[in-house]
Amino acid sequence: MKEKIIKAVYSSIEEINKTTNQENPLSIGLTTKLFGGDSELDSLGLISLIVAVEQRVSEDLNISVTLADDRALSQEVSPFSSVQTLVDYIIVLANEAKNG
Amino acid sequence: MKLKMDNLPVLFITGTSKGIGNYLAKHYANNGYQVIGCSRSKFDSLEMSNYRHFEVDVSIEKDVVSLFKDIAKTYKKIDIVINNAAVNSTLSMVAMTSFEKMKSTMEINYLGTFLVCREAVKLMVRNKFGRIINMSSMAVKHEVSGEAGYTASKAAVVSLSRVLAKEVYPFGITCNVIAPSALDTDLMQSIPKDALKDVLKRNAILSLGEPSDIINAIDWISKPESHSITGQVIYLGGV
Repeated sequence: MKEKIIKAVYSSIEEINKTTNQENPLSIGLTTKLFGGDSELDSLGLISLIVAVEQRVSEDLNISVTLADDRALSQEVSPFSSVQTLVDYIIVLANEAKNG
Repeated sequence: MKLKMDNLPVLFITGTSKGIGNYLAKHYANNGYQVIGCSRSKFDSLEMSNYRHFEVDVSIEKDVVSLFKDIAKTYKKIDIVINNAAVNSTLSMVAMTSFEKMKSTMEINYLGTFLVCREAVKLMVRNKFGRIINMSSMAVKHEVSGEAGYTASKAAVVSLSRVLAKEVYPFGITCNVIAPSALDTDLMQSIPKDALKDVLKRNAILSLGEPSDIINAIDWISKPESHSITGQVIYLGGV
């Protein structure tokens, strides 16, 4: 499942690089920063990415996850810090969804 | 040229089992839209191939989320959202209003609108286009005694819409409010005739509004050329 989630996130980055984020495309890799001073993404880019990832995970893995909510914002390490933290967070949510 | 079904603009409207929502659903289904409607109550769906009905209470988060997952899967997009579903309890002074009545009014009229906006925006962001139209009411301007719950909920819809308009404009999405005058619908049945007459006296137009007035406003706001019209409240009936 982890590989599929990574693929879904990478595809989403490719998608927003082609649309909303053409001027400062994000590099595709686990260490890519998504939020904060080191990131190439502005707040609009981050919204686009979150929306794209939610929909791609739903389409490709048939799992419904909500990435932006109070729980995500209250994590000690923000799920939106990097691609790695985002993937880790989606794995947690996906496991919860699978186990009901 | 006849449009193929999968090329039709997709319009989602809440509260389509009766009243203005039902009228709008029929109108747009008859005029080249794929219409998706919802209501809390069971409803003999419109017998039209381009109308699809969901039995959903817009104030229940998981049901709204699930509804939009279905829409995303089936239609891949939403072009226009009309948040129309609303309740208006019988007139009651604040001192006599139960907590439950106030809460359910806010849940359906305001939180329901919020949930639908939130989920619709996610679909619209991806397509870089969207028109969100939230229905408010002349009550917000007139502040009629006995209508605190309804009025506050519709005022909240206005504030939500104006903030949302700023957040979504960079994605090609507009968000506006239409605030009709009173119409002859079920929602108005709870308002005593004399009270209604008194309120209408405050408008430039003293008679009840017509559904076609609302359609005219929706059509104007929804046009691609109306991309700069956002965060506006359009009062009808000379309020």
